[in-house]
Formats: sequence, structure tokens, C-alpha cells
Amino acid sequence: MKLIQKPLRRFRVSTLLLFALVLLCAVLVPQLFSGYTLKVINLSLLYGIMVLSTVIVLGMGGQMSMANVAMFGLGAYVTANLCSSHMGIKNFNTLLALVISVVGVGLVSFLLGLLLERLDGTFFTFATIGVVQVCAAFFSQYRPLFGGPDGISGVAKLELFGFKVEDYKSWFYVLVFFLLVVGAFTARLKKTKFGRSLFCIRDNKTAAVTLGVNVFMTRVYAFTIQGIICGLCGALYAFMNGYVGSTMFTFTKATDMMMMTMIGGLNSIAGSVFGSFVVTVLPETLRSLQSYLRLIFGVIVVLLMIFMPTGLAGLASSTAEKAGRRLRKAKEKKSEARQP
Amino acid sequence: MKPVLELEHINKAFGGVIAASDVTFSVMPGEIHGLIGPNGAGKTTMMNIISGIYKADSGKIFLSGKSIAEMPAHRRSVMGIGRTFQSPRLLKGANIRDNLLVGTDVAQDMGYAKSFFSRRDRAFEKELEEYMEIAGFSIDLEDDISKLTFGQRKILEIIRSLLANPKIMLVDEPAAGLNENEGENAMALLRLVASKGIAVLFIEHAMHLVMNTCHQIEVLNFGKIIASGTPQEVSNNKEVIAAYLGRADDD
Repeated sequence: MKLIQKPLRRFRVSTLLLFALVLLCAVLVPQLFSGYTLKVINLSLLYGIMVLSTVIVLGMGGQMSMANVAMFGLGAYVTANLCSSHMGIKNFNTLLALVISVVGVGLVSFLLGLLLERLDGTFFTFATIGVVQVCAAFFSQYRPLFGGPDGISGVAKLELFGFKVEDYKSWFYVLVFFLLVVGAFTARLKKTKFGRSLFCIRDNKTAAVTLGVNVFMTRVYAFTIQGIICGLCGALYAFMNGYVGSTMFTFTKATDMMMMTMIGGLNSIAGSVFGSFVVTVLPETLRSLQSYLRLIFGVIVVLLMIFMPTGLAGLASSTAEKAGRRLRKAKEKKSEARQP
Repeated sequence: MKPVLELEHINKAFGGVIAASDVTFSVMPGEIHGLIGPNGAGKTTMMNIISGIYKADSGKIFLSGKSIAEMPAHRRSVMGIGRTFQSPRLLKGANIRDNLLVGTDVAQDMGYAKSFFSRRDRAFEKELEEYMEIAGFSIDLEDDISKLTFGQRKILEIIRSLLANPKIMLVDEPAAGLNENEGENAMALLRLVASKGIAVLFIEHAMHLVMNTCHQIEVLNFGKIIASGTPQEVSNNKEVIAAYLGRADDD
């Protein structure tokens, strides 16, 4: 008897297919779409990056944080302040502003994480809702930093190594690039000690500590990573939109993000991008159903949670697995039939 | 030879319920040490105190001569205290490889950043082969953990704990829920652990396994140690017979 069946080098068809699909989309989408449609697609890509941060905190770590929207807002306002006339700063290097936003929001998230990660489960979620509400109040009321209800307009265009990102097509490529980077980072994270520690915490906190996992600090790091990713998205949003207003960073937006994650699948990278696409693009294509969309999404989420808690990505992977099993069985039968 | 684990006057109470009362014993390297007693005697609580899940109200704990009573649980694990549970607590929705790598993560004690850039660890596979030979079943590391039976998962949890390179393993009812064959394999695995110089402290209700495997036994009742010694000494102790084992004519 073979004691360890050596793992077969499985042909990762799903990964290759996904990669091919992304490549195909990257080539075709800017050719097929333009103007407002491309703008909406870009927004869905941006949300896709943000939802990946939820995959880390919720999908891997099992903690439902709504604070992503607050960090998204902070990133956007830091960039807007540095790259517009709002604070009287002129010709600030946009790439440096992007880095400052990411690092700054990362730092805020770390400090906030030290405070909030002492809480568990529902209490943690409630506390992050509180953070969203406090930030939303500041964003909409405090004029010196956030422009109050008017927001901050006239944000400069992002300049990357001498190339000005101005039109929707250029933004599409920039966002695909960041999506791939953050997606690859998240995928790698799952296979490292950090990812496994988060899975341990999610599945059983008591077992996690007996396996050398510092639950508190690991959660703080996950929360910080969420902040960094959301800060990046905020900065990109400010550059892309040219205007930052408080209505983008409310609790409603946080629930939208959660819906994107749930529809796509809590623990799936491709699924969360798909979820963000569904929640962002569908309302634009189904304008006639605009008043019913929240109802439709709500029902979809309820049904998914009851019948398919792993989201659409879970459905796709289980279907692929079933198909693979059938294929293997058919092959086995064939080879049996050939034997005399 | 110095003891790997020393407990001195450990006390623990939950409200009015006394879970540990003046518990003192030590475990030597390579020794299989049984912790037996009726349900509610405080056996699992004792393991939780040693592994750091619960903090003792008073008393001292030393691991290889170093005081660990104030140390958080995750540091105790890295220091060399391995732990398994009555129901296996493995990663759900993950493959067998990732589940075992959790054990090697403890042994390597690598920082998160370093781990992000390090290559996939396959060094443990050789060590794993040795353990699987005794475990008595074959695995595909890429299989989902849910493909294993309850008994196989329990044995795999012991192996995961072994891969963490512990000085002492706290094993809570390794044979519970296992068929006879699996139970014997689990015990064989513990004997292998001991032969490597790793101490084992284990709770078990199946007396034939305890008596055949342990070098030393502590008997707990209402949080108090009522007897300690070799299996022979313990099985002849009148107090133990009255409190736990029952009289010969009871059979």
C-alpha cells in the first residue's frame, strides 16, 4: 500500500481559464465599450479591488468589517486634499499622493485595528458600523478637510511615470493592473502562514492559539491590509472621478460591498470581482427595473445564503468538480471496457 | 534527566466549582503520562491551563525549567506545547496539505512577511511518511480535509501537532470515536512520539489503552489528584477503584 499518494501535478484549468478570460476582457472591453459604459465598468473594477479586502477580513478571517467604506473615503479625501486647490497645495506629485494615501490609511487602520480587534463577532461588526457613521458625519459636515456637503472638486489627473491617466480607456488598463496585483497578492496570502492563521482563527479561535497564532495581532494585520487596499481604491477613485463627495462613503455603500462579496462568494477572488460587476453594472443595464433593484439584490442574497452560502463562485467550483468527477468516471469505465 | 513539564500547586475555580485543587505533578521527556478520572474531574481543564487557554488562579508551570504561567497560549505553543482536542479542530474547506502546514508553521516560527516570500514547504513530507506508516491509511495531500473519516481526522490532528516539533503533546481522548483498529494506531503513534523523546500527557477513558500505553498515571477527582504512579500502582489503589475504576466484583 502506498502510504502517501503523491499529489498529482493537477492541471489547473480553472486558473488558466480565469487568466485567459481576464486577458480577453482586457483586450476586448475597451474596444467594445466607451463613454459612460466604460466608466461604469471601471467603477466595478475599482469595487472589485475593494471587495478583495473583504475576502481577506471576512472570507479568510471570519470577521465582518464594514469599515472598508470609511477607509475608502479617507483614501479619497487624502488624495483630494493633496492634489486639488482645496488646501492650497499646488502641483503635488500625484504618484506620491497615491502612496501617502495608501500608507496614511494603512496607519489609521492599524491604530483602529488595535482598538476594534479587542471586540469579537457581532460587537466588532457594530463597532465598524460606528466607524462608518462617524466618518460619514465628518465627511459631510467638516468643511476644512472634507469640503462638507460640497465635497472636493478639481482633483488633478493621475500621472504614472510621465503618462497622464485621463480617459476611461487608460483608467480601464490601470484598474485591471491594480486588480491583478491585489488579486495575486490575496491569492498568495491564502497560501502563506498569515492566510492559514486567519483560517485557523475563522474556524476555531481556541485551536488557533494552541497552534501558535496570535489571534489579536493577526486580526489587526488583516484589518490593516483591508485599510491599505481600500485606501488605494479611495486614491484611485479620487483621481478617476476628479471629485470626491461624501455620498460615496455611507453605510449604504458598505452594504453594497457586502452584497458584492456575498453574491460572488466569501472566499473567492474571482467571485468577488464577479459580484462587484453584477452589483455595479446590472443596475445600469436594467434601468427600467431601477426601483426594484435593491429588492432583487436583497432576495438574491437571502436565497444565496440559504441555498448557496459559498456564493456564485462556490456554485461554479462545485459544478466544475462534479463535471471533473463524471469525466474521471467515464474514463475509468472506458479503460475497464478496453481490458479483456 | 529534568522534567519537561512541571506543575506546582495549580488551583482553578469557576465560580464555586473547583476545577483544579493544589495539582502538582511533572512529566519527563519521552514519557507517556496518563490523566484519568471520572467525567467532570477537571482533566480537560488541566490541559487548558497547561496550554494557556485558561489562566490558573494560582500555582506555577514550568516548561523545560522555564516559567510559562504568565505566557500567552500562542507563545506556549511555539515554546513546545502541542495540543489536540476531543473533536478534531482542523481547517474546514482546506486541503490536507494546508492543514498539516499549520503544524510546520509552529515549528518554523517564521514571521508573516518572511513566510509571504518563502517557497512552498515540502520538507515535512518525509517526516509525514514515517507517521503515515503507523497511521494506517493513505492520503492525497491535495484532497479536501472533508474526504477523511472522523478517525482519520483525529489521527491527522495528532500528526499536525507532531509536525509542530513539540516538547510535550497534550492529547485529549485520542481514541474516542475511533474504531478498535484506529484506536490502536493512534496509540502506536503516541508510542512513536515518546520514542523520539517527546513527552505525552493524554486523557483517555478506554482503560485498556491507558494501562497498556502509559508509563505514569495521574488520577483526578473533583480537581484533586487522588493517586499517581505506574499503571499497576494506580489500578490497585483503593481510592481510585472507589472513585473511578470500580471494584473487581462490580464487573
